[in-house]
Amino acid sequence: MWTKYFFIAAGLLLALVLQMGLFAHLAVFGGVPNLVFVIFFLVIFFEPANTYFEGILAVLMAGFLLDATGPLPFGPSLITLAVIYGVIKTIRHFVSDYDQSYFLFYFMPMFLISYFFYTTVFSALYYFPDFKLVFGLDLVAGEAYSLAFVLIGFYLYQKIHKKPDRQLKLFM
Amino acid sequence: VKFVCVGFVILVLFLIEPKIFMNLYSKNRNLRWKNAVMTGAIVLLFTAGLFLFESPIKNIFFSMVSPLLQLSWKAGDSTSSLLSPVLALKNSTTDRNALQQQNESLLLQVASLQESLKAYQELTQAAQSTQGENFKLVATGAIGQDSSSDFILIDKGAHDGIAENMPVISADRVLYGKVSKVYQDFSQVMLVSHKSSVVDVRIESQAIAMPGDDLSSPPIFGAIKGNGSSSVYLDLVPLDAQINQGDAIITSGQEGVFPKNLLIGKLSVIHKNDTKPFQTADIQSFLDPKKMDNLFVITNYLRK
Repeated sequence: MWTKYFFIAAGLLLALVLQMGLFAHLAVFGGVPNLVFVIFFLVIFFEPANTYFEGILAVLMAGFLLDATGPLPFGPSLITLAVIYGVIKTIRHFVSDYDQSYFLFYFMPMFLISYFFYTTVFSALYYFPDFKLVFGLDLVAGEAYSLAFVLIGFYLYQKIHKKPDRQLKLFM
Repeated sequence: VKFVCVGFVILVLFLIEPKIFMNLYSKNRNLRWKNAVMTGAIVLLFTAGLFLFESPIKNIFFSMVSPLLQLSWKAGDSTSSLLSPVLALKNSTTDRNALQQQNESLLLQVASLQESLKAYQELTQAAQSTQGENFKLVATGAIGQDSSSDFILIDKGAHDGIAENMPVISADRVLYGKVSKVYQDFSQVMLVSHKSSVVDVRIESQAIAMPGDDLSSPPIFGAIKGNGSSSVYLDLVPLDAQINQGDAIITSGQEGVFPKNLLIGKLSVIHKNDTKPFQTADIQSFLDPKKMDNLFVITNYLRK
């Protein structure tokens, strides 16, 4: 049980180290992937319906890491990620996870909207009141770059958390 | 005041819903809204705690992760060095033609420059003696870059005499940015390419002076603005000013934050439109991520 929380925390820290060091040199059209956000989103999306600890840990840890390395004081990332967590948790409550084969159809838009929301809110707070600086090619490039990583993570996560085929078990 | 605010938030939460603090581990499915309030309260309290002790927390955090960051930064440096020949191969033909033209132009310039060299040396000597710009430098290096790409983290802080707004340059006098936030052992540097960065500059013509040319033309000034993602552009150049591709951009020192004569880049594409009050230009920036391992903070030029 606790190993799962340890892996979430360690994964977020590793993601931060990679995005600030390795991927800072591998920018595409000025965009770098936000790997911390990618792992945060995977954790909250795949969190079981009636548990909250994983999600809260992901919000606190990812928010802390993003705020600690960002130009603003502590708060913007933590609160924005908490809002995203609340919205995703609510949506996941209403959308059945009975058939996992349709997961991707709402996973992708949810990730893109969440990423856009986070980046826009963070940049808007930073550049306030000069909002025209918020949007740029780097934002789109960063989102596309992150999407590539989150899709890899999505398939890996789905493989790990694949539910056993109960129908088959009846005949065993 | 901050402690009172945090206490007030806790008190309000307790008055609204005392069970919040008693049902921390409740598994009742009907308490969904209460869980949401509880999550919000935890996040707010955590944020308030961090906010109160921001500077020491960030300093301790950077001290703990800096070895990993340095390792990752070096790995990135090596990876980009490995990839750069592959990426450069695509543009090799265009580059070769451009270099041939540049070579011919440079041969002419060498002859002209040798004549000017003696006069220039005398002028530089005079300028240095009057300005007395003996910069006091603190050697440092980047250990990480923010995901917005236009902030870097350096391994020197208040303990090393670093203060906010100090200019950061490379060994070859290229301006990288200024210190924007200082912690005990680390600092954050805002690169000149940051979207809110503005630097007053002078445009140095690289054209070869021909006999009969007017050598007493006034200097051309402008402003370099950050474009994000390590790119900058030139703005606020009067429409009647004659600027050319390849002209060097150096700091003018007029805004009082950066010393003058620091390199920024050279002009690449000029955008001149009679309907606009100023001409702008794209800049080939001298910012090089590979050289961010060896940077210097000028500690004795703090004007603001």
